Amino acid sequence: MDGDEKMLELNQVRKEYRDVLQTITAVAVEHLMMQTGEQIALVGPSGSGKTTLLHLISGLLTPTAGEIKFNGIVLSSMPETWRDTWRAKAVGYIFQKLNLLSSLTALENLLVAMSFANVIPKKEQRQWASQLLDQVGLSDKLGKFPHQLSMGEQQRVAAARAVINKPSLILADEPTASLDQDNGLLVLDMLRQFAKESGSTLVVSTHDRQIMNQFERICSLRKPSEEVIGSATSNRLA
Amino acid sequence: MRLLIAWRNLLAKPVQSGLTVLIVAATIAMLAVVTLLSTGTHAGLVRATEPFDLIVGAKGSPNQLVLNTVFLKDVPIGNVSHEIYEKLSENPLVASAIPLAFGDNYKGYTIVGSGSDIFSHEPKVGQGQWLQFAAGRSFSVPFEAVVGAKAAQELGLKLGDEFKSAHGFIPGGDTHDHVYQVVGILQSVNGPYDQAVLVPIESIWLAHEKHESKAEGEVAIEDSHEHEHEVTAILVKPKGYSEAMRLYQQFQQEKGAQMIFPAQVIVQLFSILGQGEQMLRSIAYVIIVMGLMIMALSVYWSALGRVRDRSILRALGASARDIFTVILAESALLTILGVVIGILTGHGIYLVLVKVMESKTAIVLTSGVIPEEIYIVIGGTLFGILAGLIPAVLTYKMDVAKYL
Repeated sequence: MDGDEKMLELNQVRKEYRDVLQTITAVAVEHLMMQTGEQIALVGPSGSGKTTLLHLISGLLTPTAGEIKFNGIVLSSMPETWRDTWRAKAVGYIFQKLNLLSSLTALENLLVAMSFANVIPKKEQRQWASQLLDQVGLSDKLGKFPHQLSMGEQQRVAAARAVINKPSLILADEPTASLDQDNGLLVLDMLRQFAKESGSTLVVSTHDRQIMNQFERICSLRKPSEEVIGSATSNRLA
Repeated sequence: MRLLIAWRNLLAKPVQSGLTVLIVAATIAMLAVVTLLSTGTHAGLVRATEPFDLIVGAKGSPNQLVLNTVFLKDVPIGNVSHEIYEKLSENPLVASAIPLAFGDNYKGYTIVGSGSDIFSHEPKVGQGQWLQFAAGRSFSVPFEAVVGAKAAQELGLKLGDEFKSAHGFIPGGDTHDHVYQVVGILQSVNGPYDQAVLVPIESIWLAHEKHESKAEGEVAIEDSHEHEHEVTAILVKPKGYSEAMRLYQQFQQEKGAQMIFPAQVIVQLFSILGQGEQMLRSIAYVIIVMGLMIMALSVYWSALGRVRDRSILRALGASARDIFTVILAESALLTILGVVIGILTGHGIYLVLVKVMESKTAIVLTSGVIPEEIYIVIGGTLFGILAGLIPAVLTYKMDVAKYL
C-alpha cells in the first residue's frame, strides 16, 4: 500500500434535490481525501447522506456543486460513457439493498459484472467467479438464484461481485445491516482482506459501533437540514 | 451475456412476458388471417375456374352459370339444346366441347353427366389432365359412375359399389330406379369437382325421361332416341386466345344460349364485392392498428417494468449500448416469439376456415405462405422492437440511483 498516493478527493461537494417549493440538500462535503489502500468507515445517522455520498463517489450521481476527483480526474467532467466504463473497471459497490439481479444465478451475477469491465480475460472469467464464490463459502450455490439463498448468502454474493473485477475502489453501503453478527463480520473481514491484498481503497458506510471501531479512520456525516431555495447548508465531514 | 440477461429477464416475469407475447401473437394472427383469407379466397375462386376456359349455358345470370357449372352450387338457369353442343363440337375454332348435365344428386353430392372426353380434358397444354384417376377407369356405358376424391371419401364409395341417384340438388328428392355402379375414383383436384359424381350424360337423360314419364303417370317405357336431349352447360376449350375471342363474338348471335369467360365473371364478381371487401379490410386495418398499438404499449410496459434491473446494470458499469442491447433483445425476443406464434396460429385458424369453406361452399382456398406474410413478419417484428426503443432511451436518461 502506498499511503501517500491520493486516490479520491472531494471538494465543496453538494448534492441537492429541488422541487417546486424547496431545495433539499442530501449531502454536503467541504473536503474529503482518501489515499490508495486506505480503509475508511463512513458514519452518520440515518438520513445523513451516506448512500448519496457513495453514489456520488461511484459516479452514479453527479454533484450539484463541487468536484470529485479520482486519481486527479474530475468525475463529473468525464463523458457519461467513460464514467460507465470507469465504474465497471475501477469501482466495486455493495449496495444497501444488495441489488442482485434476481433473474440470474449467483455465478451469473458475477459474470455480468465481469462482462461490462472486461478486466479479466474472457477465458478465465468463469473460473475466477467460481473461485471467488468458493472463497466466500458458496461453492455449492453457484447455480442458485438470489431468492434461493439466505440473506447472508446473498450478501456474500454481493460482496464477491463487488471485488470480482479487482477494483481499486470498493464502496460498501451498510454491508452488515441485514446480517447477524457472525455473517456481518464474515463479510466485513472478506472485504477488508481483499482490499488489503489488492491494495484497494475501501469505504464502508455504517452506523454500527462495533464495525466502525475496526477502522483506523472514521469520517462522520451530520444530517443536513432542509432549506428554502437560495439558502445554503453547511454539512461538514468531521 | 446480454442475450442471456434479456432471456432470463423475460423468464423471471412469466405473466408479464406471457401476456405481451399473447397480445403480439393475437395481433399478428388476426393480420395473417385477414390477409390469407383475402388472398386465398381470390386465388381459390380463380383456380377453380382454370379448367373452364369458356362455358356455354342457358341465357340468364352469368354468375349463376358459373356457380352452377364451376362450383356445383345453385340451380341451373335452364338447359340448352343438344344441337348447340353439336355445332360447337364441329366449330373449327373449338379444340373440344364437353357437355355437362345437372339435375340429380346422391346424398347431396352433385351428379354431373358428361362425356368420357371430360377425363382427357387438359386445361392448359402440357400441364396434364384435369381429372386423373386414383383408382379404376372412365365410365363407358350408362349408369357407370366416377366419383370425385372428396365425395368418395365422405360417402365411403369404393370401386364396385352401387347407389341410386335422387332428383334435384339437395338430399331427399325422388329416387331414380336406375342403379349406378362405381367404376372409377378420381384424384383430388383441390376444387369443387372433388365433390362431384361423374356419370355418362346418357344416364341423366335416361333417368329423367323415366322420371318425367312417372311424373305424368305413364308407363315407364324409354326411348331415348325419340326424346329431345338437352345439356345444362358446355365446357368449351378454344384452340387459342384469338379463337376464343372470335368464338365469343360469334356466339353473341346465338339466341338460345350464352357464352361466358368464367374467370372474367369471377373478376367482375370481385369488383362488385370489392366495396364490401374494402370496408371489411378497412375495419380489419383499424383493428390491426389498435392491436399494434396495444402490442407497442405492452412491449413498452414490459420494458419499463424492468427499470430496477436496468439500474443495477448501469450501476455495474453497463454502457448505454449494453442497456440498449438488453432492452432491444427483450423486445425482439417477445416480439419474435409473438410473431412466430401469431403466424402459426393465423395459419391454424385459416386452415380451419379453409375446411369450413370447403365443406360449405366447395371452394378450396389456397393455403401456404404468401408474400404479404413476409411484410407482416418484418413489420410486426420491427414495430415491436421500435416499441422497446422508447423505454431504452428513457431508462438510459433516468436517475438510476433512486432505484438502487
